Amino acid sequence: MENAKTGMKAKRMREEIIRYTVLFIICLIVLFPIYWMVITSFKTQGELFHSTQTFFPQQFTLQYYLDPVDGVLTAGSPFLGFFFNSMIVASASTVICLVVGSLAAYSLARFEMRINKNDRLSFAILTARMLPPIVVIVPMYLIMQQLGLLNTYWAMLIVYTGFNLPFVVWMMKAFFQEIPKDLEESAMVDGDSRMKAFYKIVLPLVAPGLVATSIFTIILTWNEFLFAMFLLNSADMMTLPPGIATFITQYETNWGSLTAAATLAVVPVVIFSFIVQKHLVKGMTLGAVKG
Amino acid sequence: MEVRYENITKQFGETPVLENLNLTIHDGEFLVLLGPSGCGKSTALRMLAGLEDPTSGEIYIGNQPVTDMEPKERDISMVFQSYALYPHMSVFENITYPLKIRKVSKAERKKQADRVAEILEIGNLLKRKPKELSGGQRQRVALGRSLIREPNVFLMDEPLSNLDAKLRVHMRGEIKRLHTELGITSVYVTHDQTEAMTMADRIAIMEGGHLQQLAAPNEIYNKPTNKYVGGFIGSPAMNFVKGRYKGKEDRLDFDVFDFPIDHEWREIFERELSGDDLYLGVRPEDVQVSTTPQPGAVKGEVYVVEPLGKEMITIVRVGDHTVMACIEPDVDIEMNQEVWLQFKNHKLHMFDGKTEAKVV
Ligand SMILES: Nc1ncnc2c1ncn2[C@@H]1O[C@H](COP(=O)(O)OP(=O)(O)OP(=O)(O)O)[C@@H](O)[C@H]1O
Ligand SMILES: [Mg+2]
Repeated sequence: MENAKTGMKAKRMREEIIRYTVLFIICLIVLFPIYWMVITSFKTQGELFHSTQTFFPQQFTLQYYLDPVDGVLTAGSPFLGFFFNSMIVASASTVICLVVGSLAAYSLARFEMRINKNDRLSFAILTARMLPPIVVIVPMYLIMQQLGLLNTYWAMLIVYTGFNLPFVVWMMKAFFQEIPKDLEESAMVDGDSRMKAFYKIVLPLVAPGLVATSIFTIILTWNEFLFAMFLLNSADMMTLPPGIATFITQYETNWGSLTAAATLAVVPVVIFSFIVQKHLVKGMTLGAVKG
Repeated sequence: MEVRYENITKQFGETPVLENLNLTIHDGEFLVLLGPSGCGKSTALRMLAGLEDPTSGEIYIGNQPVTDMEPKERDISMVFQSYALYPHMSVFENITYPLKIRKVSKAERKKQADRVAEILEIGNLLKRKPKELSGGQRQRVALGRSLIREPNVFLMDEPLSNLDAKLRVHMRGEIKRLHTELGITSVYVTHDQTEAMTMADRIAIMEGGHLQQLAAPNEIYNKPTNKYVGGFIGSPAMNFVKGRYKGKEDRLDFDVFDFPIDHEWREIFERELSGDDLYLGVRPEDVQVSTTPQPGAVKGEVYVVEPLGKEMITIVRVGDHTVMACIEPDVDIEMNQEVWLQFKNHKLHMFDGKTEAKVV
């Protein structure tokens, strides 16, 4: 009896050890490039081009960040412009996507529409995501050119909203379908309009879904390179991905500034994810109905 | 306020759920919609609340047609069959939500919540979230949210289905009392006939998308308009014996026994019966069982005896027929014993063999 028990314990222990080892290795593989990027941004010029590379800066420097002439954080540096542009584009398109996408998803989840028979409309929405962006990049360029929107936030908002909306609609639709219809019906009988029932009853319950979706869209737009590369070619309008790429030129690659900029570019996404992750809790609808 | 369904038909896609429903609920009345599962009770209620559009027809509240009105314009409160509690709100917030929408002050909300919580015995639960409640507690919270205000009409969709027997009887009383005090028109859905009989001013029996009978409980019980209602109301259920009308011989033929009829009955049968076939309906409590031969009694054999304490259910085989009787618990009878059955003449029901409508 005692033996069996300790045997079980030992077995569980072994399983734990294996599990953590595997997790550790995965983390190592995923995080190592990021780690390398971060330490590179603190190495001096000499160390960067030294024949032996070390896992930690021998001589710690902030010159790529704070140098009064070409530090990425120095007032007027191109990086700050890229950063600002990315912020505007990513946050605005995410907000638009969430507002429009949630309402669309709610309608698709709740109402029977002839146009959506057998989920036809839902599927049509998804097809927008099926084309690889590279296929439409040239037509898109020409359209934006005709509209005079090249090198504007508008171009990016239109493209990013267009490309992310289907994703938002599909994700949010699944979340809305999880919420029992009775809840908003009850609110409507209690005296709410449908819009208010949506806002006060349904929306709080899909908050985890909204958070998850917003993380995805933020990351997608924050990382987007191709459209930004084509549609924004003046340095003052560029977002981070094409902006950071300008540190790589025909003649040299400015590793220090490049990694410093990339390190800073990761920060907002990490912060955002930490802030919202606590809303990513499941089981919010428990207790709503009989079951 | 008076509620009126006028020629209401409801289809889901091609499937008809309600067909040409006409139903008037008087001002201040407590009407119970009674019927088997899937007969369209909830659908009828949801149309009145504005959650479902009728395929055709018009619904009136007071004298106002409401078919095109939003739920919130109808000023109705409803207990959902599924409870529909708001999971992110506490019990207190759930119960007082209708008041909050109406911008009632915090103090008044508190007062009303306490009043309702006391009736429903949920005072100690006010701070909890729905997921921390048992099924019966959730159901009482759902009831509380509906009872906290005084709407035009109360709608309740099986509001007591998940309570234990004792609590159910208690709540039944409380709801009835509240209804008498407030005098607000109420529509109450249930498939529990005891609830229907004890609470209703009138019962509407529905089946297969049709209103079968609308009448006061006693009338439903004593004068069912068709075989369905007769069989649905009453526990144990009414006995039916299939037979034929033999007008020339002044009798009804039930194979193993005859039933003599007089001139008056003959006239009625001649007038009302669509063919010769008919059903005799008799409630178990209207069947008398004796262990000795009686004049005019029908001989049978005891099949099973089921004592229930205050009474005893005896199933007797008469030829091919099975007849159930409720008798005194102290009568001494056993299985396979020969017994003689007598039906209380004035408590007999005759239904047409084809249309199943009541004949006598
Ligand atoms: N949204 C819907 N779509 C299709 N059919 C439906 C829908 N709602 C209800 N029905 C059908 O309509 C019929 C009546 O349903 P309803 O919910 O009114 O029954 P009910 O009398 O309340 O039954 P119960 O006692 O089980 O609650 C059922 O056959 C059901 O399958
Ligand atoms: Mg129902």
